[in-house]
Amino acid sequence: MNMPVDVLVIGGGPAGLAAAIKARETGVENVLIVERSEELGGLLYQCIHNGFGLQYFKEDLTGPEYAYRFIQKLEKLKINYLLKTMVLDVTPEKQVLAMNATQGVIRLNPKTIVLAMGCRERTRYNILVPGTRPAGIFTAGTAQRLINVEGYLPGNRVVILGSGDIGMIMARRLILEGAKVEAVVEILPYIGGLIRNEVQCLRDFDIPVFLGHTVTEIHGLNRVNGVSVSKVNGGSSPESIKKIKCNTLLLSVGLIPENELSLNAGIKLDPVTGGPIVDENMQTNVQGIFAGGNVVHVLDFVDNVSWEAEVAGLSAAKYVLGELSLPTKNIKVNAGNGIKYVVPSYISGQKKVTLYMRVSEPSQNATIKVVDDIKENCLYKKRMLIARPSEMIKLTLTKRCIESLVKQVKSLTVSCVGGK
Amino acid sequence: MEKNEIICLICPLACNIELKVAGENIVDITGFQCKKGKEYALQEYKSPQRVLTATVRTTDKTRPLLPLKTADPVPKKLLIPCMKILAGKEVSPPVTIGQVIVENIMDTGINVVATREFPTDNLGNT
Repeated sequence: MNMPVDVLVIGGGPAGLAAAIKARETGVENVLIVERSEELGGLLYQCIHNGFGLQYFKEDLTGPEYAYRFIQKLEKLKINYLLKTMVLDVTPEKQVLAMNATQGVIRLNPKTIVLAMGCRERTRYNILVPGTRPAGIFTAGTAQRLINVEGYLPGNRVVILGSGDIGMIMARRLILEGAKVEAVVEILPYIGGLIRNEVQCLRDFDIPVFLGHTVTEIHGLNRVNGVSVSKVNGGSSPESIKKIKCNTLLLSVGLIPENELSLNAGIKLDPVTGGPIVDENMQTNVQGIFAGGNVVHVLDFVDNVSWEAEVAGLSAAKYVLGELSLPTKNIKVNAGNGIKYVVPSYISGQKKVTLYMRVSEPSQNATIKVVDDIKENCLYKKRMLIARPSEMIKLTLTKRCIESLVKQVKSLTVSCVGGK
Repeated sequence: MEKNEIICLICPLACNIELKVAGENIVDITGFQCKKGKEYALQEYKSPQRVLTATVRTTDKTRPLLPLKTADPVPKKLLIPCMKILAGKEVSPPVTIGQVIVENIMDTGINVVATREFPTDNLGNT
């Protein structure tokens, strides 16, 4: 197969769709999406709940409706895509090896690549839950697909480990479908996901929540018949361990950006986010390879996935058109006190830039500050009544603010200091 | 007097709003930081409303479920009764996005509509 490709987008989920559309709209002819599943849209089709697009479309949409808007646009722009096609390898020279059942082995040599592979769920083996190995243990996303797309209820007495958004949303879905949710167990002393989900998924249905607890043993021989739940640092005395009867355990214990292909391509990953280290154009350390969305860092709103991937798509298109000027300098953006990470890691100091970040822990009356390394000049300051790790903080350094940077600046540090 | 705590979902501040209620009357409302929050808490106390999202069975074996939603929020106490109505429903593609699947569910005046398109040419069994 010999197909000229200007921008190759790996992954046809929300990030890939947004990147491909933006690249095409910027004036690049040959944009191609390679998607491994049988349809475009990624995880949006199994996310049948609402709350999507509140920022991007200023409308409250469900996952399938959000996907539909982008796919309609993609079809209108006549953007090519390959379905049921798996990318096996990407080299630093941007040679791509893919395959599918009809064309066999496909070799592509695109001018640029946008990585949009998204993320995958952490499993029992990522968090090492002791116990037997019976049937009835699912990641929350797998259960979501079974219930919302395939039409199977994975169990009727369920314990959910982890209070991330998917876990809480699945608690509500299970109850609406007639199952009983015995408990939601969260290792941290606070709920991991959005407050809206805590209210509308857990409190609405009076689901028992154990904060500062975790599952310390899975019981059952052929099928799960219960789990032991212990308090974190609560000792191991038998009376401190609760045994909860259930036939299903759902794990909602975090997501990992999916970057095996990125590593093959020689792309450097950030150990904190698990995603490629990118500059303000969402370009990785390999020239001409860009990345956007959950493959870079796990975002909580699809709206931000779309926006961030659009930056990657725009940059890839400009690269093809010879309009992407290489930054004359790279200013490192550091995560300082109270900040878990900041994306992008590098900025040019020549144009306006939006920084995405997460705080390390919840705090009230927090002050977010961006300072330079020369005179500790404060470039940006923002007060927040409350800052939570579950809610991404987005701030924009305006052109004016960037222009105030003195020449010698080599790095910026973002910090978050909590008040009383 | 009865105390009711409501977490406001209007903005990320998530204020804890407290309503003091005596019989049918709201005696006091505290903890809100804006007008919208106060209105939200009153509405949430009197008649909490939720958009219901769910699925119905289809006759298409390759796509067994069609996702749908109530076009507007319905009273929270009707979520489970609405699910029972949807459990007995089956639809045959083609379905267009926004198509009404159940009219005026539970006499709320609100329709349940499809949230995705199932064109016939994707059918496995035709």
